Amino acid sequence: MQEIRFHGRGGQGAVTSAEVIAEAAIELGLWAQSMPSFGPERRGAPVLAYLRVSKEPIRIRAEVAKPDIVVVLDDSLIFTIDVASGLKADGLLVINSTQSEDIIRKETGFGGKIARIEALKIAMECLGVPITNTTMIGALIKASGIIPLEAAQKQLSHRFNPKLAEKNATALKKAFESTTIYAPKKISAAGKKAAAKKATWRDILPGALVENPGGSKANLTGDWRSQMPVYDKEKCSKCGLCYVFCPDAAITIRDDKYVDFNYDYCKGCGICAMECPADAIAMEAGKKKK
Amino acid sequence: MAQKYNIKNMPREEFFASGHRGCVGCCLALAVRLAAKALGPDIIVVNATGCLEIISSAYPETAWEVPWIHTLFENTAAVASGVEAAYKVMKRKGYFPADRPVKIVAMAGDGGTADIGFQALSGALERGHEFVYICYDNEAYMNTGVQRSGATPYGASTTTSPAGKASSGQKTWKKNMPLIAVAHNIPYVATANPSYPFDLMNKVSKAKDVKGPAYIHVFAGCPTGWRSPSDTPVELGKLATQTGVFPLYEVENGKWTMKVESQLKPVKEYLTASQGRYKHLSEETINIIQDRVTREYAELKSRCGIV
Repeated sequence: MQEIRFHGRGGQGAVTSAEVIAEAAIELGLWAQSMPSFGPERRGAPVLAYLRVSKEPIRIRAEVAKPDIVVVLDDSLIFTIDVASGLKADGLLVINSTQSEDIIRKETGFGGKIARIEALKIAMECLGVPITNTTMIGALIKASGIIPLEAAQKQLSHRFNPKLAEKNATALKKAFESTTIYAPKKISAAGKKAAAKKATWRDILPGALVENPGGSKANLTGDWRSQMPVYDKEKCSKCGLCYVFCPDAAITIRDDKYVDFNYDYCKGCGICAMECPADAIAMEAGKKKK
Repeated sequence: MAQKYNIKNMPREEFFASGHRGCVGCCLALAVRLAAKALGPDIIVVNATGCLEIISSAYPETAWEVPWIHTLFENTAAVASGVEAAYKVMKRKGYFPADRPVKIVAMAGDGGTADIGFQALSGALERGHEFVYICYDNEAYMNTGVQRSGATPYGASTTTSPAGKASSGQKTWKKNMPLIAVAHNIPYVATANPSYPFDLMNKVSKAKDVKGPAYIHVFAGCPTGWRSPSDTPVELGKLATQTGVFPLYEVENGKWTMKVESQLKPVKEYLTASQGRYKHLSEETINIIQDRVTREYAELKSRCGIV
């Protein structure tokens, strides 16, 4: 049995990835299960999906704690959470990233086999949207051979209308061809992240009282971003509408009436760019700060 | 005196902080952020279960800079009534300064208002508690994954009114909550839309000054549930008003006034503007919706005394 954990962000399609492979495996006569796991979170927030594929019936129904393969759809996650948690040393990490192998190894603390793919680029080229799920399936198949590529392609044609299926199949194939595999490498264990300490029931005040107004500011939603606003001060007419329309209060008006973007919180929705009457804001793919 | 807001005088202070977990492009978050600016710091927010509660209060964090209490779906207006009654007594006994009034503000979604919290709201309006009730209407149960509510418009595809071979989406018409609020003969009812931010803030400010219950029905674009690109909800909001799908009006002590569109755009422009939930609509269904919108808009105009 192969156990796989998908790390993505809401809306990227981690759940769909797991489902597509499970359905393809079942059609091939294998046994499979897939399940999503997420909290009260939204499009852009971290989500998990689990997948099991086996030649035998699968009795276990629990979440995957010790995966053989981890698939990361969004490499900003490696900086905030321990994606390699429980991943077997001889396992496989499939990651959508433009980062170098060294940075990926350092951030994840994983010394095993890594398959890297620049999935965002392929998704934008083939699909025109920053949804990397089918692209990641291509990379996963290349690195693990968990199912044949054709089986995944067939699933896509079940799932999507012919036009969209075609586009996704192209993305899948392109990903399959352009995945880079890195052989296992010895690394120092120093970079390993400590798991964040979660509050338990003992820490909760009577009435579930929350004492710090505006405490959500500790939650830097800027890492949900898949595209970022780029501001052209020359074109800005100082109308302030971007400030008015920002759902995340991530834009502030300076004393000189120009605006500042707070990339710690900007989720990259693009409303500011859409509403700017002077075309002074453009959305660019990627989530880089400053 | 109610404030008239513009870009120059709108408060720079945020009472609904960054870091909330609203979806990318969430117009409910935008509406609440603007409303909170107009309400100011001296409020107590009573918030039903729903998107707003979930995105603003991931324990142990809160996006609120003002006192806030979470209620169930069904009892938001009842809790607000209780808070208001307690506030009156505590003010009389000197726990609150007499010269710094505190406003009770209830917030709930369309499901929490038109469906589950309906009877508590009706009771609170009828009893005449002095509070502002803001319904943010994203037109389905978005928080739990887009199930239809009483406020889901005709033809919209949701997970429980799916469009397919045998069905063309929601089969019933949107429940007219503002009109139901008007039927309670309360001093102030308004519809608002964050695509018209200063109009929204002015109405909230007016509602804050009302002696008695005030009800504001706010249109809240939802890219997730409407299957729209995240940068479109403000534009969609404008189209909803420009086509007459979501007209903006006020009813002050029984007197109706509205923002009249000199030339209504065809509803087709709104329905076919990057909304996945309406993608399946046939010409025939669009015509049915157009007829209904035209008729209701004419009724509204006649209520406002506009011929």
